[in-house]
Amino acid sequence: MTVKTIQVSQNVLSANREIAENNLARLNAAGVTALNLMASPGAGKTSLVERTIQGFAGRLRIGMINSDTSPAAMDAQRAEWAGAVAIHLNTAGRCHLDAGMVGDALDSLPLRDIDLLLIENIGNLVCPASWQLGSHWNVLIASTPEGDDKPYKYPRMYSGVDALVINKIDLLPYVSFDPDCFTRGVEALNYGLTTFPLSCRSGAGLDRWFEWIASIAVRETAMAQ
Amino acid sequence: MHELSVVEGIREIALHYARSARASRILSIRVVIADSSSYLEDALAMFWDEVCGATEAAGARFDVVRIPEELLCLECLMSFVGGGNDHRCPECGSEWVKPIEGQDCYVESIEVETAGG
Repeated sequence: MTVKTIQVSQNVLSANREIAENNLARLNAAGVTALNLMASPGAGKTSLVERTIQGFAGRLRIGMINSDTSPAAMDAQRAEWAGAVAIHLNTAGRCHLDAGMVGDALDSLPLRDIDLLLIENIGNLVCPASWQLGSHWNVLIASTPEGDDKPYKYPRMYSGVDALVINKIDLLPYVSFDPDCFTRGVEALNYGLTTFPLSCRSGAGLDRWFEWIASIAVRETAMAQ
Repeated sequence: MHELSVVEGIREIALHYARSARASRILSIRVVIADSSSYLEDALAMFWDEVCGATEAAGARFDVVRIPEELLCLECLMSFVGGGNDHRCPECGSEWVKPIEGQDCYVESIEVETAGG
């Protein structure tokens, strides 16, 4: 028997990255635009998904991968009621989705019949930031009741996303949220980040969000062809 | 709880390299984790024993090397190595800083036993 040391120097997330690239290739081949929606619990991920599905009824075919740490599938059910093809993933306690879970979900979705795929990640501002899923866009949904200090407290999440939704702007008069302080934090981490202040409840600002979704869905589909 | 996913990734990397070297057993593994990562060392070690089960990595010692995080001051844009819990910029004293490096968690090396000489 011989004992020897093997130098490895390999990042632990490299395997996830490879699966994510494969997921992206599958989505591109099917002409699907995918958004990875990340947020803290209660920020309004499912409400935004519902609003988006309703907003594009008859215009975009929407699929949804919903995840929760438990078997509770009510969010996927809400998406189905709103008119999407939805799959519920139970992560059995895990605090984030990874590319392998999303790859398995893609196996069960009729990708050729979907234009836009909304992936609702686990409500958590820490872990999902590290795991790429193979989506085209990483989107963070913040909300005003969370407070204006979140960019400072969760820099990795805020610096790693491609678009930001600020939900619940209708609550601004009632909560402690200084938009200038929030924006200063965001700009320092992710200068020029595309941002959508809106309210899923009142509908304010949703038109800009819809315009953006329409533009990226068309662009990704065109690139796939 | 994301340590479980991380440890599974570590195990796959270790097994891949061990099998490529035709090793019969992995004796120890050395993992580098940045201080700024959100991975808990104790949780990693606990899951390590659990996920290695009946593989060549069963019983392998799990060594963790911590490296300091590198921070960027968002006020004066100076970068510096963070120390302990005090993350203030040594230049201007600002607390407005963010990690710029050290997100990494990687397998540095494995020690294996092989049949040959």
